[in-house]
Amino acid sequence: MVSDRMAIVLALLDRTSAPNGAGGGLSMTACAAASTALGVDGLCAVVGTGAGGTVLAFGAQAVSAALEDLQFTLGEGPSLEAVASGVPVLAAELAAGAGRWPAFTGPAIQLGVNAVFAFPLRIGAIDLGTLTAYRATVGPLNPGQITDALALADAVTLTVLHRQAADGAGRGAGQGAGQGAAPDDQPGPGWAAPVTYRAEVHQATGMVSVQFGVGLAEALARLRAFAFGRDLLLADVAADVVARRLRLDEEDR
Amino acid sequence: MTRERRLVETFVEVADTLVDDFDVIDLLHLLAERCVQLLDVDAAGIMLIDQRGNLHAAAASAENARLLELFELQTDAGPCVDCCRTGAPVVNADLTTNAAGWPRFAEAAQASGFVAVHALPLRLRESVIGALNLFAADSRILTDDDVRVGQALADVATMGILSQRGIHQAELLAAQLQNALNSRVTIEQAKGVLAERRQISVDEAFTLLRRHARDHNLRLSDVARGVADGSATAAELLPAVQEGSEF
Repeated sequence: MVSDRMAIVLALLDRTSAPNGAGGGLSMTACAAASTALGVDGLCAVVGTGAGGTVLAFGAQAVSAALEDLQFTLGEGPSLEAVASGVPVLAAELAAGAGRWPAFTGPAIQLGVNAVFAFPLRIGAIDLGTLTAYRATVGPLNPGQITDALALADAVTLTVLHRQAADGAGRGAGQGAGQGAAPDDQPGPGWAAPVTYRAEVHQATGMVSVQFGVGLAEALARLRAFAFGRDLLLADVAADVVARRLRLDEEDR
Repeated sequence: MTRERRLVETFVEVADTLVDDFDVIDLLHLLAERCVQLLDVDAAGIMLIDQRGNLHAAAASAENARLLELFELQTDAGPCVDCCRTGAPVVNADLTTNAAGWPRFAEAAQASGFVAVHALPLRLRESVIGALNLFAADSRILTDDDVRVGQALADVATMGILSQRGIHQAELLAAQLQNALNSRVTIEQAKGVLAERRQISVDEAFTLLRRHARDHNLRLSDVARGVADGSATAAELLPAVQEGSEF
């Protein structure tokens, strides 16, 4: 179960992470509190994996940015591996695994980083980036910290999802039915609520993505925005979509 | 075939799967199907605990919305929740007496034609990571032998979850559970995409996905991912125009 400390961080995220809010979903306060809960020196959420990858959140800003730059430049490292494999990559002692990332390890240690833990930001087939934590001292995360980190990655995934949807709408990419995800939406309770494993939510995501010719990420953001904007339960909206009782565009007319 | 013979075949089949590069959801489906055959129950499913302590369906013997709903109803209360909390099996729970304290679940299960329900824990040392849920349409008692067989199948499910590819560190239990549940999410997304593209139900979409995976000897998760993100592996499953007929 998630620790009390991380539960507070998640509640903070829930309140402060407007889809287009300052801090991009992980405020300095939330970030510092999350780092303490995980027993690490810094945290960094990166969206995208290529040149367009955006650093969203920082612990010690210079170190986070340098770590991500290093991996992008060298084409190897724990965050990239987490994206490729879709599972967490836990390097509790970087030096011990020098053969795994031969080019990355030396420069990372020179930055004062000796342990790196990377968690993919994903919901099913939706891949958004990674949440990476690092520490100067070597040693594993304990099972409770891993649980906390997974829950944090979950919450960050959703804030990133909505931020992207809001950005898309701002650029005019989210016309018509995209109104629900427009930037003027206020964050409500549950905005960063955990990814529900309820089957219909994800079935509806797939259906909406086909109906509007958008990616799964935007489809899920639209569903959630639709539900929150009308004070409906996401599961109920999803069930209506799956039963073909509801199309998001018809409701907007 | 005698039950002993079927048991042997099941464990050979499962062992073959475990030593191969298996798909965890495929394995859990297989186990759920074998439970129905070996234990003479009418439906079976496997539920896993997420990092917040909630239970979610990972696989079922029959992928229909009605049965999945019965699993989802147990997020708050039901035999699987009890089983996970205590770590002890819930066996021969009678749905009609409503004695167990989950009236909402009992009512829904009865409405689906079930009269008895059982839950066996997926145990790992002192932790419980989920439960094997069994449903019976008649009140035949699950014997001690049945429970032992069911528990062995539940243990195999646990082993399978712990040995998913890509996650090698044994301490990463939470990550392994999350990975299994995430595979499930991908399958649901793919069902939605396919249902809309072909104008069929999500239940029919699952049947197509699974048949495609079996016919082409592909992992179910890979096919689902191909459909969900539109990559080429499953192109023939997705008609360019909406036909809704056989492919």
